[in-house]
Amino acid sequence: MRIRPALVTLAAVVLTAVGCGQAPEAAFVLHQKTSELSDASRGAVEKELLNKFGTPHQLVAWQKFPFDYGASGENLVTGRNLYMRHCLHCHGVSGDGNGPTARFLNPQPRDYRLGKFKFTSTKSGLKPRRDDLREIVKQGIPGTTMPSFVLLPESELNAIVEYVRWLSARGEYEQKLVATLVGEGGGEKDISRRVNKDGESREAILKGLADFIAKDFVEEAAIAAGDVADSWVAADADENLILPSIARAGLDAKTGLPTDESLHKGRELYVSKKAKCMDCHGPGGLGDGVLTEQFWKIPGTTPEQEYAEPGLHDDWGNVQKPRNLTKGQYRGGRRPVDLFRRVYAGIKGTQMPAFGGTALTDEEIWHLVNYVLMLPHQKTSPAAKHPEKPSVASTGG
Amino acid sequence: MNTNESNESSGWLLTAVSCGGLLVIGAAWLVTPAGANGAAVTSARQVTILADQVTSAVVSTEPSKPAKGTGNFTGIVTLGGAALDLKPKVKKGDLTAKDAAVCAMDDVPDESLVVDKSTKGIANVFVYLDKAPAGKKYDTPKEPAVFDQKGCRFLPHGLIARVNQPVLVKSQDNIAHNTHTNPIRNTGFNQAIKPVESIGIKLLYDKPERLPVKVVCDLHTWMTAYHLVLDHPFGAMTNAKGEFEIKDLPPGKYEFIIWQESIGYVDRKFAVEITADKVTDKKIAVPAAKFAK
Repeated sequence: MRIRPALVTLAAVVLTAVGCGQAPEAAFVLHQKTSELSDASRGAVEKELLNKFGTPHQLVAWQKFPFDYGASGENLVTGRNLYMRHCLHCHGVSGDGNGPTARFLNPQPRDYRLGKFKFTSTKSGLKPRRDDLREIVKQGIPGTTMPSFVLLPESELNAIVEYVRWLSARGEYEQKLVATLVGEGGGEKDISRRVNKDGESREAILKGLADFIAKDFVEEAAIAAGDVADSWVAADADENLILPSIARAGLDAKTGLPTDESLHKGRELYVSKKAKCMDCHGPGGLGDGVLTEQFWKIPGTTPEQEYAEPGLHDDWGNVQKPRNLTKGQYRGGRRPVDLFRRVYAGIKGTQMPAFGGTALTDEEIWHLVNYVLMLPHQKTSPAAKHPEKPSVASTGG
Repeated sequence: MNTNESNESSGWLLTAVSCGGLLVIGAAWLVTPAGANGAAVTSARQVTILADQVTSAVVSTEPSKPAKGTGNFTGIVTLGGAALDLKPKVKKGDLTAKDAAVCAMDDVPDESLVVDKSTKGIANVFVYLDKAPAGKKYDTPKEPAVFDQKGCRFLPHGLIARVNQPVLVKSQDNIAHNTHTNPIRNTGFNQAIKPVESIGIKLLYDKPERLPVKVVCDLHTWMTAYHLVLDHPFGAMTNAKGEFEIKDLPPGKYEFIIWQESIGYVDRKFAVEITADKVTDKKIAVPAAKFAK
């Protein structure tokens, strides 16, 4: 076992000593899906999580994960302390995006436990680099309640990033364990259905599950942890960073502003059959495309079920409005390269697909970026006219 | 388009007759799943119609012999009860359909339950081993698998890929698609596919999956398909008649997963004993009540 039990007793001692009376004890909560498992299955997940990650008071730095815990885990402790001060109100003790303030917010704070983060500089499907997370904490997310923590010293930002990665790994590990047990038939509803509808014996099902937990679960858990660890390593690998293969195209050599030709090309791509931007973002960029009006299926449901509300939903199950591109507010950063990356790799955890390397060339992406950056400065939006002579050209930040 | 289809169909028929009626199954996991899947499961609807004709032409089907010292597992998955009447997801010529010029060129059938009229066999059922027989490693097929799109429909509807075997995502449609997966173990894939993508965008699964991965297109939300990723060759998908064949299994006792997209597990642990140089044949009936919504 490569478990290094926790390094942190100090906080616990301090908290006990201070004796904060009525304040509720900070504790990691189980994911909804975990609580829907049969007793023995849930117990197995709880035990794994406790052994490998500990409690908020007694953190475990499991070296399976490629995190910078510091020599004796002090990074994790610092990160935890800062997280508890700055982040937990919205993101919750467990990083489930369900802190006490969360219910009042729209959009909902990120639930880290899916292991997905929307705004990254990494290729399609990959997790964020440390830099991406640090940038988000530093800059905040415009158009949301995520504020900027730019005043924190770099070392503190880094510690928070490390702790968020740790929380995300913990949550994703939990989800993978649950998926394994659900696959083995450990879901309580599933068991009831098999007993009541298919006439199977409850004892036999539970016996089978107990055998699996005793024999194979350890190996399955190790595989799950390996998958999570690999994905965090891959995210920070240099070959997975998106760098445009050409400098920003379509700029006037003299003024440095996008040329009319480039804006035309961008507009044409925007409405084209090959990019289909307007199906979601609407012809005028208002985020009101036809796909926002229909009912969508809930992924991972067999048989298929639909969401109660129409409109696109993200992987967290929240209604997801395609960005209104006329507002000039860009959640993942407003630099041209940020928009380039959004188009190149898509937005993780949403329907926004990756266009880079498949449907669009890097040059085409730049024209599209030029056009999108111009949209907020069009006088009449959603005119949906070709921008023949845009009155204000983009500065692009 | 019509000419095209009939060409394809007759090509299929030839293949069918020439290999004696036993089509998809063996091929689904053989060294070249790509062509095999791509060709044979081109259109389950067409296949269903054609299969009737084939039945009359081909009198009996000789199961293929297992390699020396191994055994084959064959069988048929049938529906016990009346088949559901499923409406097409997009009707031919429906101008209100999204991107009708491309997507309503032909019916897009509802493939959530495809039943053959004569055999009652259910198509596109996955029969496979969760894990490779203990201690064995199997080479990755060199040929990529092909996953195509035509008339706003994925072809084939179900595909078995091996770990690290590239799946080439193609499109014959003159409109963009996006191919979107959300697997449990592998990295998610959500790539825009440009119109008439004939070379194919590489989709790679580098880890096996326990259950088939659902594939969707968010631009045309009726489009669905399933990819099963295995690190061994012992998996098959039922053909249009509901038949499957898994070849060259080392002798021993196995528990197969049988999975169908509308109901999930047909059987979690279907016990089969394989004897050397023998074909083990099983009939698996799924009660129609299971499909009731």
